[in-house]
Amino acid sequence: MATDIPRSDTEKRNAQDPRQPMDPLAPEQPTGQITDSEVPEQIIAVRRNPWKVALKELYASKAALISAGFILLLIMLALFADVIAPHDPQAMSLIDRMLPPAWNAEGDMRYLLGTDGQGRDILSRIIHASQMTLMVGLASVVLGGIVGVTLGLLAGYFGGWLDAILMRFTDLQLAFPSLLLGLLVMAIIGTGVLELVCVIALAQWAFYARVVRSEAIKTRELEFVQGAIALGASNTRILLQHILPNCVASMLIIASFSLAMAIYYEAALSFFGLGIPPAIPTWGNMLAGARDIMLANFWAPVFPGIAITLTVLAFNLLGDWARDFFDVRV
Amino acid sequence: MNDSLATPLADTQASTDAEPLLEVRNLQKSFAIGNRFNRKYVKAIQDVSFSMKPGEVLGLVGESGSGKTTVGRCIVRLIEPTGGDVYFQGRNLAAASKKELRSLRKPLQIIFQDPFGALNPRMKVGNIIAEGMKIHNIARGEQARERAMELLTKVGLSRNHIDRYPHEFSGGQRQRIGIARVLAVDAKFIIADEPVSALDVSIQAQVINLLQDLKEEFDLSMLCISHDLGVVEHISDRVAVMYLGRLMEIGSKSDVYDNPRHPYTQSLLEAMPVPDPDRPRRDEGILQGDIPSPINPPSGCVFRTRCPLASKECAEVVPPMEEVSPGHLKACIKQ
Repeated sequence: MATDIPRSDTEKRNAQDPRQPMDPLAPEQPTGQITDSEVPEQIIAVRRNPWKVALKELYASKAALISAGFILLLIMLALFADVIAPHDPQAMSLIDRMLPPAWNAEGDMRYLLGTDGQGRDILSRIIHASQMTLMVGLASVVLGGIVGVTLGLLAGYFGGWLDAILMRFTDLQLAFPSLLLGLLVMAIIGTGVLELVCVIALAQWAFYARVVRSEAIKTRELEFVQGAIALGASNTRILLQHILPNCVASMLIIASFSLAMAIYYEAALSFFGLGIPPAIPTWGNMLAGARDIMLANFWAPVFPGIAITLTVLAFNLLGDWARDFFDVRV
Repeated sequence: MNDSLATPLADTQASTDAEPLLEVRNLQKSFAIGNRFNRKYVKAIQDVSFSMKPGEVLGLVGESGSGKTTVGRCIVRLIEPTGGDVYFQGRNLAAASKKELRSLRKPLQIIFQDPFGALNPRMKVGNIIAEGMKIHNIARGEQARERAMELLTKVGLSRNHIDRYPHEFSGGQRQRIGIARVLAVDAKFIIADEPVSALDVSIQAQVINLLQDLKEEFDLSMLCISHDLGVVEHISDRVAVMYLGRLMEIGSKSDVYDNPRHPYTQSLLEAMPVPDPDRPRRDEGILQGDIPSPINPPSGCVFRTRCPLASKECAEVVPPMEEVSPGHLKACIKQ
């Protein structure tokens, strides 16, 4: 193992070359039968499963690995909340109001992270809240992504006045504080899950549009796109077959950061009472509910706060990793 | 000088009778740069005219920045020319509508320089080759796949390469895939834009030989754009020399290489490396300085700033292409 320590990234990558015998699933060797040449060319790279490469790279980065593990855990919690959560998140118990966490002298073993002002189990609420958090996050990222990617592709590929107009809109969007815009829109159209998703998507589409536009401009000039134009490919074909697939890397990176931002926005808007209705447990709602009692009962706001922080951090770290990972490959 | 006129006369005379496959007339392209208050134009190509017969290979040589690539791309209108006409099989591509262009340029395809940029990294080789067949309804599904495999063997790759991605291939192999891609639409005329300059020397020869074999087999004509005089000499029937957006000299390979009549061609050939270590170094005749800016090209003859023969008259008029011998033209008022 001693030889493993001083390695640059590229050397690591070479070490993971699937041709090495260390890989048990090594693909078949290329059978390059070059008929008309005296000196056969070497195949410089062989078939490798991109998912396997990604997993190995992920394993090499501890921060990303832990983040991915945390996100996986969160997804499991959300999926199996009913089974995992020790209590009904809505069940109130006036006798057990404002109990501190279990390790505290006054704590109760039944309520690991204590209870809130209405005597509801904080741990169970955090677990159940992860459902709504992830759902809102994913939905808004997908919605914002679809809008942003479409506009970015059109602006970047066609250029000209379309580009100018669309980009002025994104400038406008990016210049305006999106949390403030969210508050404003929620105040007008009302609150609710769907409204929240739309507002968060509104705060995000511009990032996608910006990045995808620049990718589209870059890709449009590449020779394979020029070649496709010469072949007679239609604009739709070029956009969907050639440009969009080559933007996937940057889209994934933004999606990861956007998801972190979406969770943060959901929490913030819910905290202000403009997000999810207070009856549904979300981390932001829990924070908002704990506002009045937080001086005496630190645990009520701190645990949902930690959940928000860790989740946002995990998605950001994963986004950082994704950026590094795709950069070296592109 | 006159004694060499006799030989090229015979073959160029015969060839001028054939109907031209491609005729480029006064092709112009200038790119606007700067903002609307300070607009400048880069004159990338000016008044380029030449014609090509079916089955012919024309080599287009010149330094970087001479506009060779722009000529190639203007012919297929990947870059819109600002002036001039391009007749291909009698139809004017420069005047065709976008819709007509799609079918008109099907037989007229490009092979690119950069084997890494020329293939979509997210598409499998089979789909890359079959794309043109799908677009032009030549073949679909299994049929297209079968044809793609056949083309792979034609370009010296193997049938089972079809499900691989471009990054699994070396530069030379990618160039072969690029060639298969244009053969898939029954290209008759191939613009090879620096087809081998990004490849290792040993592989250059393989790809050039492949192009020559395919030219015979598929009855192709080719415009081979290159800065490499050796490559052009190997592959071409005729050679055109460009400098700063203008044609300097055009003629059969033997005309241009053995009897260059333009001082620019002469100095280019002088600068060609000769693989003989005992040959004395010759420094005179090698061009000094850089190619001038195409934003503000020299008046009259664009080459006069670096020409050993330049005099006052050279700055006054743009020298017309004049015939030295049938089929051999030069744009120089000297000599």
